Amino acid sequence: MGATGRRGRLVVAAVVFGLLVVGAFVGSDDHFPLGPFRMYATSSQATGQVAVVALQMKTEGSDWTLVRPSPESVGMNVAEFEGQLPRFEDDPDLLGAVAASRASLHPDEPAWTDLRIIRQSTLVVDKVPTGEVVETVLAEWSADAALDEGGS
Amino acid sequence: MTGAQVAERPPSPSVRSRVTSAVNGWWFSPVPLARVAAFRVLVYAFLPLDVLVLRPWGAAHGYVDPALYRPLLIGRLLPLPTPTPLLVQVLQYGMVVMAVTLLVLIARDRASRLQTWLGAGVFVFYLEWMVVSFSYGKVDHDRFAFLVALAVLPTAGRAALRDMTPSPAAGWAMRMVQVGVVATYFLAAIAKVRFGGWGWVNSTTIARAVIRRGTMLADPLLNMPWTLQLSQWFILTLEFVSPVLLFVRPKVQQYIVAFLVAFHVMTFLMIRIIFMPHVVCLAAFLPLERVLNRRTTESAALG
Repeated sequence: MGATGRRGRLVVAAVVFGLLVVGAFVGSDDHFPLGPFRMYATSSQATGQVAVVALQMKTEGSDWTLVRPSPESVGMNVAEFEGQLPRFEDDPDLLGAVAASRASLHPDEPAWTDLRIIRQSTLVVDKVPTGEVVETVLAEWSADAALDEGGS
Repeated sequence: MTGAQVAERPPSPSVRSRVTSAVNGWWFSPVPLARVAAFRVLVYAFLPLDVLVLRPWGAAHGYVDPALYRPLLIGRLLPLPTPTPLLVQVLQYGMVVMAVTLLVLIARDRASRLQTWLGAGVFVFYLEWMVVSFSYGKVDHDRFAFLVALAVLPTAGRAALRDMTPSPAAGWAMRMVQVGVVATYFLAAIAKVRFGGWGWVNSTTIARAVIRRGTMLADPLLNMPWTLQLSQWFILTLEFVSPVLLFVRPKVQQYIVAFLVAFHVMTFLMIRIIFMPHVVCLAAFLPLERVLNRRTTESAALG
């Protein structure tokens, strides 16, 4: 390895790790792979709620059925739904895109006609879960309503 | 001070040249080519496992409605295409084919130039696979060192599994991965303080993780919150002191690596989370060349 090879490698090391350090202090996930390593980095309160997001769906004539989002079921997992949650709350019609993803992953199964995104909150008091679970509907979409709107 | 006195002193290296030689010595400390070859085997053998079994989720993103694609900065800058079923399959199986080809070529010490190109191809495909995987609302933080490994491994040139020739280029490649591993720990501590504050150590972050994904082993600890709190103090301390790993003797490094692997396995048993690509990269601290060359060395010594 010549002097140029050494210098080049030192520059690469300085740039990569320099940017990584900058990313750790001021970056965000958007800057992957040089963003902050924020796995489990947030603090949660001793008393409060531990929330997890889930889906509920209907097919033609069925009741609401719980679906745990997964790559196999809708192409995205729970954390991804949580990451895009503000988008779903702002625009519930985006759930139509989830139903469409489901249809392209499982073309032979009955289409989802209605879809909800819900939050299941477990109450935690002084760091110990009480076992009490509260469900809140965060966004709701119906294929029929979407069709009606499109037709009017 | 007169000019005569200065001239009489033996020439002492300037501070600058001493720093330069220390930096060079540390980054280019030669390691046997066999080590980089063995590490390549480990990395390219792990890759198919990663993209086909452990984290095949990028493939499902090919079927997700484009309205849910939120490209990362790198995906917007380049600009990378919106994932389709064809794109994810080309990436996924393309990487597997290239990695398996590399394993064969490394084992037989053939076509080193082709190995370099395949290695570069695997890195580019894997980076795009990461963008596909992480552009739907969640970024994982478990594979920075692995990405570094894929990027630097092709730069070490020809390396055979039984070639014990010391190489500065191999030394730099292994050092890059080591720094990637340590940076992951240390900057994870920085992120905890940045996002969670110093109060992170006394918060219920791990209790929350146990509620969400705890195992039989971890669930009883929910009733003894102090155990989880203690583990948070332990984790943050461990992450902050991790740079030590870069500067201790090789033997000590090996003990620390064994300890870290145990830590990651324990975490997996408690909350079913293990940063596998990162764990693979811990091997960059080990004298991997000895796996295949012990007998050779011994017989050489006897001879």
